[in-house]
Amino acid sequence: MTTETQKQLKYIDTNGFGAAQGGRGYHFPVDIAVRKDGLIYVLSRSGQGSLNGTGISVTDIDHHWHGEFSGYGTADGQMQWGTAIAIDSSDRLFLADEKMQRITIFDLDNNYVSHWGTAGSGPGEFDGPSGLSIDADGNLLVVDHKNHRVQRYTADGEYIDSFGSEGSASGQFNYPWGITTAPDGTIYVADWRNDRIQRFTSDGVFIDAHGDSGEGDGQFSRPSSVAVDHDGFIYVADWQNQRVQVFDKEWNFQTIVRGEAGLSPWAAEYIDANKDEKIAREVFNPYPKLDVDELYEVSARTEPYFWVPVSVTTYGDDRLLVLETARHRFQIFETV
Amino acid sequence: MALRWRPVAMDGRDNPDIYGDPNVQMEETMAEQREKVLVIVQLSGGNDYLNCIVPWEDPMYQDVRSGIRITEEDVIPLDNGLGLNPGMGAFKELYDQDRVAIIHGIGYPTPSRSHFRSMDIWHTATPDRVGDEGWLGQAVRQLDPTGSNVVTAVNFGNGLPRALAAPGVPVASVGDLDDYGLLTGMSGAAQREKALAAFSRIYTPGVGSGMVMDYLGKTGLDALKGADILKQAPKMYESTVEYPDNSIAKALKGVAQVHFANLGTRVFYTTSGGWDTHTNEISLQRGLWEEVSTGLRAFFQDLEEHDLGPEVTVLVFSEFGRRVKDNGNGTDHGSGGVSFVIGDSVKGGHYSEYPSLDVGRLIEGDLQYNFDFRGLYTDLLEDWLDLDAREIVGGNFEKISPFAVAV
Amino acid sequence: MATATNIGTELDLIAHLLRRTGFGATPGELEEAGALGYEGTLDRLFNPGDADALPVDLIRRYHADHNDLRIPPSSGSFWMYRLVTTKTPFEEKIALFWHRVFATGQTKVIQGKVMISQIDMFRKYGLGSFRDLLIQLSKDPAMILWLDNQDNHKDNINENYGREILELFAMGVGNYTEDDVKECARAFTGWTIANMPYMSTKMRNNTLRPYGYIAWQFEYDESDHDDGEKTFLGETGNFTGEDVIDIICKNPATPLFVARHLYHHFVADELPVPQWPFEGPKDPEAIQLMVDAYFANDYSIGAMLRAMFESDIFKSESKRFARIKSPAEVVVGTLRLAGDFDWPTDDVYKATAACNYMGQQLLGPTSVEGWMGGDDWISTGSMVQRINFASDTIGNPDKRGIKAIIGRIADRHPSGNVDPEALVEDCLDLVGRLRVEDGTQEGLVEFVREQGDVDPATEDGAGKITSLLQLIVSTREYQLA
Repeated sequence: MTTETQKQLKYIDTNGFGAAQGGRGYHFPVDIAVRKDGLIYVLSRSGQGSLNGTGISVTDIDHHWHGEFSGYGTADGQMQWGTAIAIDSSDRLFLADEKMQRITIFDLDNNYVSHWGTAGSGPGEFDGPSGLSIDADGNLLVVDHKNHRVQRYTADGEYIDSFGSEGSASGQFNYPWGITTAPDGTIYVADWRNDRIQRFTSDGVFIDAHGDSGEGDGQFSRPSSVAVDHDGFIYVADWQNQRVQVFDKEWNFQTIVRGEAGLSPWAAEYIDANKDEKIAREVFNPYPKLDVDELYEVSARTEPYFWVPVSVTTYGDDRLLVLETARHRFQIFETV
Repeated sequence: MALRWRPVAMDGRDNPDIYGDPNVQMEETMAEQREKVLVIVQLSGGNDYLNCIVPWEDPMYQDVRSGIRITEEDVIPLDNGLGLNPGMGAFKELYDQDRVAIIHGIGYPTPSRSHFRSMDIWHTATPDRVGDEGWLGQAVRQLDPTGSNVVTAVNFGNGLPRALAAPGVPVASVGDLDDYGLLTGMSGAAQREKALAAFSRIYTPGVGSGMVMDYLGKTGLDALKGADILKQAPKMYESTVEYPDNSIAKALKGVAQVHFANLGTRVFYTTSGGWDTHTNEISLQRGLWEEVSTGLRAFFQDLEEHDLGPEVTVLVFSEFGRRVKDNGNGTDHGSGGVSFVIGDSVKGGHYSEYPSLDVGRLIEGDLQYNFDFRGLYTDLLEDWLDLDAREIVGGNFEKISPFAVAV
Repeated sequence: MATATNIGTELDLIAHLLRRTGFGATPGELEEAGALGYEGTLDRLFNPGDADALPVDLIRRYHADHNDLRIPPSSGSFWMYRLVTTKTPFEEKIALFWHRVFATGQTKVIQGKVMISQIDMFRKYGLGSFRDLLIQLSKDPAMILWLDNQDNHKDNINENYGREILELFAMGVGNYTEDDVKECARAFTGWTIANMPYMSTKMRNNTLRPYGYIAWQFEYDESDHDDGEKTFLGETGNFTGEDVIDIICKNPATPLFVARHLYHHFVADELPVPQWPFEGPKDPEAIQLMVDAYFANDYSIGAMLRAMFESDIFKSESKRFARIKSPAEVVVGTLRLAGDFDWPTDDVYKATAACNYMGQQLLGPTSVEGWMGGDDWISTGSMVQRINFASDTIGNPDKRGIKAIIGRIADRHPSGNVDPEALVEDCLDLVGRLRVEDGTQEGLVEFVREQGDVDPATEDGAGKITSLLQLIVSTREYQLA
């Protein structure tokens, strides 16, 4: 499979900082989206004991901090268990909440516009909305994961149609999670508990599926997110394997990255303010010799590696952002 | 660690008022003179001293807090070149009434920057080893050696703060006074009443049950009795004071309700969480101080309305102060902090000294503490609760004497 | 004193075994075990299958904070899921046992991830050879930082770990000298973690910044190991940590100490540990039985326990309900009875917090001496928590476990109304064959009588049975295991 033309990912930069109480940084982020003007939105789900860390943060590729909005709660514009964000061509941002079973819309200035959604398994009802994507026609695709299907809505929340059912056959799902619409309109779904990625036409007709359970090249363990670039290369957040895999459009395996994060400017500012940590870090070996090989454990002990890479998205023509839940940051790669 | 196996109380029936009607008992005690009461307000997470009592005119402050400074426009000027966090407007009113003693630079030797450890040190007053009894638990034991009143200490919050933990010392921990009690999960009031009556019967030790069953029986009945006593308090409470709608204000209102009901409670414990401002500090700390300050203002208004102010002193403390230099958006764990003693019997003003911000005077980037908190505990135990402090704090410590002489 | 109910049959004996090796039994579990018989149940306990607990991928997808297990509510509730949903609860009971004896606290080590790894190690080694377990313990990163062994250097020993392995973990006070402590500490010099300066600074500063905690990795630093000659417990040589553990394990004081702990945890409440040097064991015969099994089976903890469980001592009536349940036993046993946590839920945090409020923060013992146990668990505050948690948890007739109990009662009484005495007997049977005093039984019957007729097939009847179950889990007897 090794050829001269293989796609590679080259590490460039890290953006992030653990911000359990909100403010500059993220806390257990679960999704990332890029607006066409280059602003980067990060959804922090946060967790028990630190609800202040819940919200949507805005940054850019140069580490500027543009504030945060939304937050924990049940009021309009708030969230409980946020799962996904997507931004449409008019810069409206959609937020999925799997606990309140609703989709919330914010305008381009991050103001609350409206929300919809009720619990259930009928058409237009949700049981755990998770992945979001804007399709080729500007409609919103919602992964309705505990109903094992993808639903399509107009940008104003009117139900259009859905595809998928529970199972492991072609076109069926087992707790799907992330979704993306490729530049050519093809829909990719991370079929999480089936350990595979499925492709559908823009009408929701099954095209193919790729992957099976395992740790080998081209195998997955609970893939959570997928991104596709302009040349059709496919990037998969191989969530439980703690890595990102790259394929060409025919599913030929290209490469794997595990992450190599360095200190972001925000992290560096923190280290500077804490001299004892700065001194201790001068003799810090980021890649210590380990006596375990379980991938989750290896990532837990190796700071530069992805730890729970949950979401991937393209940035411009040649970059990929990889968001990590357990390290409160995203790593930036060049696609070469 | 001390030996903690203790003789089991054999027979609760020797003490008839355990089974007495709480209403009757309350009426009897109502006429008694009020004893002094200590209220703790714990700020969990580490209140940032520099942005609480702000040395806003000090160029060194402006220098070390380039990212998160309380500016001249926002600060509430106090005196001595110091100001208050902009969230402390209501606190300023209490200060102006001469009710607030500010204790500067409070801490202990070899500071710990761990929340847990530092809080444990404050709770057990033993910085040099892991303590096994809470300082207030020991105080309650001195106040009520036989544990005859099961509500001598009342904690508002879930679980038991280590400060109140001492073997054999009963403490009521109240999440919400309005629905405090046993068998709260029973559906229907009538059903719950029947269940509680049954509970009372089946917890009464039978003949020859054995030590363990007797001990369980007595403790269960004590718990039931405490609940019965405490649930009277909100029913008896009348006030025109409106408390703000937040959890610390709600807890302080509970303190007022129980205090007014005159149940013999001497120690109250309340907690405000969320002070760990590594990020987003300006907005978070201000919001938290608004909650605590307005809650305390309402509490003192309530005391005043009921003419019960002079018996109450409040201690506000946090487990540590924070790093002198900010991290861009917040501050990290440090040492040396500030505590407050508040009340009608307090002589307001500044105590101890504001530690220097001079880089040469800092210890590992932290303020050098200059007053041992065990001295303040000694003030509160000896001069307020009239107890023997030495055993509790483990020695003699310099006091600051925050109380007006007439106390 | 006690009624003869729920005491005399083999099923009662099995229920006793399952209370001690697990968290009590649901009616279904007891039925299965009953079919195997006592010996068959023991065989299965020592040869368990898959834990088949709630899958970790599901937990981590819904609880973002269970990905790094950083703070006590996250790490504690991650373990709570396993405790409540495992099909092999004996493993968890063993893990809780060693967690109590080798008490390590997140209160100091700060990050929960390394605590969870320590608990995993207890599951894996907890029933095996005590020698292997002590070696794993000495290499366990959470233990190393908990007892400061990272500061135990060749040229400047820190004797904390060297002392506690003798005093608290393996032998008990009075069986070694101060010189032995120092020599033991020397043997463990160089047993540290990778990147020690940065890791210990982050622990000290109690900070997740910048990127969360990095889980610790054991490292043996040969250059910092004191390879000199040592005299330890009467033997002389250039001892390593492993050599010292060998000497500890063959010392007769060691199995005596371990057996007394096992007795305290699995058989009946003992005196608290600090009194052991002054007061002999309550039941020397039981201790000797376990000591013999230890030496006959290469220091096997499992063999000690199996010998105990097969003995008449364990089976005797005086050992039934002879222990006050720990908070973990109350919380986990009640949740298992109710059939909770089939799917991730925020209720797991409430359960973990409740355990903490009752005085046992999972992964957070207040000191190296662990929890005292026995009547130390009981105070007015903890009783309110125990009673309210249990009665709240049981108070929903739609929960899987409660529904099953009501269904069984309905099956036993197809004709409809159940008389109060029979209903109380049924319920006591179905919550794990609980034995209660006559006075309690009468009180329960009276409570039922006040409810009027109970037809378990109706919604009204289900509600009344639920109330009775709530009262049963609030009794004094339910506090005992």
